[in-house]
Amino acid sequence: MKRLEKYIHWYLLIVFPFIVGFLIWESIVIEPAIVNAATLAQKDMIYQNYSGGIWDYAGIIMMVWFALAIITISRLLLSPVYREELLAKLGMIKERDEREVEITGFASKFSMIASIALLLCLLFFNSMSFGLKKYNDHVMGSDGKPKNGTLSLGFGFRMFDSKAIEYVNNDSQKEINYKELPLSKTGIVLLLISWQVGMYYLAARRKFRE
Amino acid sequence: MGNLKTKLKLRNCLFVLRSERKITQAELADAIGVTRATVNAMERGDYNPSLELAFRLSLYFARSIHDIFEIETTTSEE
Repeated sequence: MKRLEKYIHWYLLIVFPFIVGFLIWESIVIEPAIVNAATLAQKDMIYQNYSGGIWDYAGIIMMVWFALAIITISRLLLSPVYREELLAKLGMIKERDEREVEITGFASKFSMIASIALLLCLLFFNSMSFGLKKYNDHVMGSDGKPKNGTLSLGFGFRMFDSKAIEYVNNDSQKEINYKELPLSKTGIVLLLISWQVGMYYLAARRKFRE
Repeated sequence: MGNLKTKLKLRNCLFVLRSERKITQAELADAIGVTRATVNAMERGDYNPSLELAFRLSLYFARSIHDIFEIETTTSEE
């Protein structure tokens, strides 16, 4: 079982750069060719040119990778022991004695605080808006003085992205298309901050009770 | 006049004891169940061991904890 796990982890790690490369190649070479193809026959030609050989093999490798990734992620969610083992491996964390436990504890705390600081910065810059207007001619302001321009600073918050889910309601059909996560960028950042603080609080509370 | 603040610093004679026994840091580390880096950090005074590890060292060297570790106090005004 341990050996199988090891092979799965190796496969996921080694194949990952190839999958990223394949997706980049697909988006740079094939996708534009298909978009630019004028007729359906031309599109079919492009598919036929790339079918067989590397295209098919890459497809199989990708399918296996995604299947194994789903299994691994499911195990990560369900098994705390496996989660700790794998994350320790990924993070190159060694806890061979009490001093190394202290060091990883310090590193985890530092990374958590650094992440929250970065997320707060992102939240701030994503929520604020900034505008600079320069007038070609002097405009009289409300105080009776001539103005060269205006500077506007604003703050806005939107939790959800309405474009993520598309509703089509015609006479002939009703359709719902889920495109991406229906949260706005600000919403995602806020969710991550809440998640990190919440998880830290829960883990600390559980340890204090022990 | 401000409050007096006492700082405690733990010192140890692990290097002396290890030299007496003619063992390497790695051998001591194996015997007490830690890494060589931890023994090195303790000898340099960069790491204070837990009570459990202090007892393990005490058992290994057959000395009391007070013989291995000593507290140095410094008092400063806040």
